[in-house]
Amino acid sequence: METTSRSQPVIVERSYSAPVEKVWRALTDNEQMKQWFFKLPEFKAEPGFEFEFEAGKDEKKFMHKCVVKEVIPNQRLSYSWRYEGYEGDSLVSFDLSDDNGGTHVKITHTGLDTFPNVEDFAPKNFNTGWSYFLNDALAGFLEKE
Amino acid sequence: MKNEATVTVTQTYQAPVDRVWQAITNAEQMRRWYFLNIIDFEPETGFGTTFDEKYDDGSTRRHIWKVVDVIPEKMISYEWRTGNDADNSLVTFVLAAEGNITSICVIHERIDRFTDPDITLENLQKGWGYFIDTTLKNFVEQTSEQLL
Repeated sequence: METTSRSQPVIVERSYSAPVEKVWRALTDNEQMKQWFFKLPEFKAEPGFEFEFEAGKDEKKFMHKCVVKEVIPNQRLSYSWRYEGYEGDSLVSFDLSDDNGGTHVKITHTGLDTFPNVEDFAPKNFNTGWSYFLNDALAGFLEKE
Repeated sequence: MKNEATVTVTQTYQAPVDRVWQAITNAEQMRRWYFLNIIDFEPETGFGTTFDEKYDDGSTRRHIWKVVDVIPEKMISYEWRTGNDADNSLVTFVLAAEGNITSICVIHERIDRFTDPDITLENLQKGWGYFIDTTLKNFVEQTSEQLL
């Protein structure tokens, strides 16, 4: 993935044995999100809902600013994603589909080329980060539930 | 001899205690740093599980665990024997949190109950050292989400 072009979306996919409704709750119910995703003060799966959170390495934190764009229950959640103090705005989409009674989740993160062309915003970072959330964090959470 | 039948390993992780607790009690996460073939696990007293692990020499060993004590995010203790043993050893994980740093202590007692000649004090010290100093440390300290 090192050669990933900045104008290409970062796509990470994974299937779970949990039904779609359960995965949708994990993605949209803040009490559940806190157990595997970023800790947000509040989250509502409603177009126009704005949220922000600080994340990053201890020595370099970024304030993330997001606006919910699209909500189709049990199918699609998308929000814009930018960093306070930096140019650019991107879009993260979670697409859910039934996979033999389980759920296939596809994360698509587009618009990374609108961010400054520096190491902090390199596509491989997004690929690693989203892979962690799908393969470790969400997989572990769904198994526990 | 009693003292010699115990292995103790301690380590400190740059990770919050809930993350370390998940890593040592959630089967999906345990498979990533501990034993690949762990089928299921529940941090609940009385929970039992069995799994087979293949070794480099082609042999397979059956592991049989039974949880005997749990204090969430503080300690978990389970009996451990292999398919060849009549009696159980006991492994205990103890966690202590200080902000985003977690210390861990693993105590494996009664290891003389293992009858397999390959399960020696020396091998268990090596094995636990590898898990606690390397694989679990890397697993809980991975900071992938900080890249987003």
